[in-house]
Amino acid sequence: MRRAVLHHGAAVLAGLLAIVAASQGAIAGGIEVLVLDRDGQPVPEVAVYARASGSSGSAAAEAGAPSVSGPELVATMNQHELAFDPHILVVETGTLIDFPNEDQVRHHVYSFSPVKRFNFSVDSGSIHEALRFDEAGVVTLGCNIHDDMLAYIVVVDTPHFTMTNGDGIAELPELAPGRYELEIWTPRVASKHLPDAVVVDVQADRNVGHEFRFDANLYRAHRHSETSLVWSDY
Amino acid sequence: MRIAPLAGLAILTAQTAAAELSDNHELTVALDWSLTDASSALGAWTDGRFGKLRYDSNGSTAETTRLALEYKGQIAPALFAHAVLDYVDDAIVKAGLTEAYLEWRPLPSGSNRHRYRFGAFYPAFSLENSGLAWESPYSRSFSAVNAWLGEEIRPVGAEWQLGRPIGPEGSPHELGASVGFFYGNDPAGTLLFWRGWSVHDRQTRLNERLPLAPLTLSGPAGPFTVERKLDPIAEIDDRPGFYAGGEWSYARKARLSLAFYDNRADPNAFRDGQWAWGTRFWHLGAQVLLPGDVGLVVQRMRGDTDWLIFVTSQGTTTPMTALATDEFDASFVLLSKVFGGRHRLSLRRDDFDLWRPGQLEVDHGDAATVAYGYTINPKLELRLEWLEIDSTRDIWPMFYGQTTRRQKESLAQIGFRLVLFDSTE
Repeated sequence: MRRAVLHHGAAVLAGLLAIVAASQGAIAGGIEVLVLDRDGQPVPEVAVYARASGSSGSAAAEAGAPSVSGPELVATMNQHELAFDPHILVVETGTLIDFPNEDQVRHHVYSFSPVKRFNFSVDSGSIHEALRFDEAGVVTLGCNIHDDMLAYIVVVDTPHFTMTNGDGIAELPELAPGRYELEIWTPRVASKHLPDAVVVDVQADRNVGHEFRFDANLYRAHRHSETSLVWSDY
Repeated sequence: MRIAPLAGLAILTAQTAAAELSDNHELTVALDWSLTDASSALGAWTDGRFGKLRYDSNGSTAETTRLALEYKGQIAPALFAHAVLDYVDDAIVKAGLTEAYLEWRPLPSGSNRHRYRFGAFYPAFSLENSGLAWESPYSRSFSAVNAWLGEEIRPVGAEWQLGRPIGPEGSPHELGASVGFFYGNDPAGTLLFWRGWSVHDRQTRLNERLPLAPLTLSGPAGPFTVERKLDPIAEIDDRPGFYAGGEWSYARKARLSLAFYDNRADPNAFRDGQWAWGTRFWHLGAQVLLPGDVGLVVQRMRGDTDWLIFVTSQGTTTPMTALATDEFDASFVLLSKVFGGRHRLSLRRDDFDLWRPGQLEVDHGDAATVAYGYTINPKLELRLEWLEIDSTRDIWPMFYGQTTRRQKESLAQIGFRLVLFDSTE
């Protein structure tokens, strides 16, 4: 599966900064998150993000955060085998997202989410000009030609974000010491059942852990195709 | 082999078409070929006999071919044209369109998704016929319910469909609704009554005339036989019919649908050799992915049809003419599972009834089908199928003698399905 380019970029950048930071003796900390469902089972593909307390803008405005101004924030939402890939994409506000169509058919991508409304056609094998996502919130994507296509772009106003892995674990490394608001998001519960944001104190040179547990049953994860049941939309 | 020149022609046509295709045109062509061993003492209904099977190979093996061509074109950003062409080698007219319609898909501006269809199409009743060109991905034959939909139900009109998620955002619960108004389908019920329920994969093409078993009548000069043809899609009384339905679905793991259909035909109406039959039914469908990734599909249909008995095929009545109401009820349960990604095993049990309350058991029986598909590669599937229909009809003794009131008909088939061309791959 392809991930947001930004994700890798940020990780690499953070890693480099860590080396620099370590050599200079200024020590960053980190947050380790475990997300569990009501029954204590790990939940993969949950967006996890932390905002430095008091900051409301993006990276550049955030006190103490390493500056990432300069290179443009970019990410990719593919269309592949009549599905969006990834199903959930987390980006920082201001990110440019492009929409390459790897299928042999045209797609007509749309969003009617208040955060960003748009629609455009993408011919097979081509890329739609990147769109900038400036406002934080969740953007639900659909395709007007293929009703089964569904994806979410989670736009967060912080450079510190990631997704839980198959073990329900997510790490936000290389955070400047300080107070952070930690939040998670998944489409698999109603927003009223999403856990409240928690305040986490990050201290130098150590990882602080936090466990989120849903108090409601999760909807089943979206799967594009079924092996034993064939659906038709007519 | 008869299919060689046909397949060659299809490939050539497809390759020529491929060069012309762009994103505005999608084309898929598939060939279904099989060797069939079918046995029925009543003959095949497609030969104008009373049997329930599409084939009667008289103890030997018959070679059968179907070629399906599905086209989808984008005329404007939200407007699409659909056409399905069907070629079968056991019909009088071998090729024809089964569906042809325009679909308008306005861009959603909120949670509601509106879809409109105009033309000739299948209403979205079947949960079994989800493949290319209304084929079943589970077996070559269709259940009795869907075989009949494929024969006599093909609205020519307009349909509105609404789909929307329900519940809080992110909820995978969806509700759907559809309403259609149509012309045509006025003789629907004729083939069902005269032949009874059937299990097969033959779809009526638009403007096709199907053979009906000949009727032997007594006249002044002794008994005489009337050869009959049925045009199930004909409009006879110029009264539009309608259908309406609702559906709930959950994350493509489960769905439940209910619909009502009424062709609103006037049984006193006659045109071009066809009498109208006033046919109504309720349809219930359910589809669930069971634990162990076993797919379950259930459909049930119950309704009735009003028609005039003892009328002539010239459109005149006789002293014995009367209005009859026959009731029907059919259902099936289908279980299907894919093993190792390539092997699909499907089991289906059909139950069907057709009766005139208090007077006549027109058709009563059941059918069992076992189908196995082996996907050799994404384009080629090997298919094996066996089915048996066990039925009792009061009408058979009138034509075949007292011993034939109950019949067992069976079919064994081996074949393959080959995607000759797919512009979307």
